[in-house]
Amino acid sequence: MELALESTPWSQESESSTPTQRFRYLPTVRDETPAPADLGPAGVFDSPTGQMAVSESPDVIIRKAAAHIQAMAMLRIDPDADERVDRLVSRRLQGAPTRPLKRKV
Amino acid sequence: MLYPYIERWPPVYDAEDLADSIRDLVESGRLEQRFYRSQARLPQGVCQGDIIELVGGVPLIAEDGEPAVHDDVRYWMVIGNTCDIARSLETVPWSQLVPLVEVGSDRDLTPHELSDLRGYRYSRRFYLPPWSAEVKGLHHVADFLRPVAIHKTALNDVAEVRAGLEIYSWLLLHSCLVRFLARDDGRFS
Repeated sequence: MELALESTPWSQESESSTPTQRFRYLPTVRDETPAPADLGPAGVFDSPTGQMAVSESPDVIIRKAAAHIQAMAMLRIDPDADERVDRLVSRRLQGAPTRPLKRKV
Repeated sequence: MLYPYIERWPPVYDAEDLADSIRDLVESGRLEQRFYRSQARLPQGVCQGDIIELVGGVPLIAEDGEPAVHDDVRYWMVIGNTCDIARSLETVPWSQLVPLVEVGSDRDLTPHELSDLRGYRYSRRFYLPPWSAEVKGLHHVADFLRPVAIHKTALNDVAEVRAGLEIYSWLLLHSCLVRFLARDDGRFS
């Protein structure tokens, strides 16, 4: 993914105790659908050194997070839990009405 | 062209931080405090993961092959992509919902059942803790097995947004949705 910084940050936070500024920026060139639309990438500007670091695109971060989640087996499926939750939901849906859709003639 | 931004979540700095936060969310026992944004902080417009109120039923093809409406549904979760919601009606007129099923209250669910629900180790549903005083003590699951298409005009003009996810619970939802559609269920292992 190609990123270009906008010249004016659209959001800026100053931390009074340190000269570091965090800001968010808009990528102006994209080659894929951004997801989600309201996650902005972040940058950090360190005033004393003049160094600026920008984060990866949220799209990339989210994909990495998903990979971490998978790697940590955080969302491993337990077939027994699957069965128990299926039963719980089926119990609740027992007797739920099914009505035919009226068709226009 | 720059797409319009809606201020909803803080910036994302680091993938490991996000993954840790999701694990904390699931394991901390504080799921219910960190799951939803407060109503006051919800921006206008609908996003993926929002809980909406829209009285209706689930349109489906019934056992006899005829179109029918199943169940009485009051609350739904939006699973349609936020980007598609933001696109013009001419380009993308539809989004998707799944119905919420009330699975029980604090009083009639056993600790074991609650623990199952909060563990997210099942594939066809997504657990939702109570999101407001209206559903205090009531536990729901979003039923991925019964997706429904909704015209975006109805989503914006008729449905009422009742709750929105925090970033970590949205990532959890996203992971569960992907897992539901692309899981290996172990049949061939």
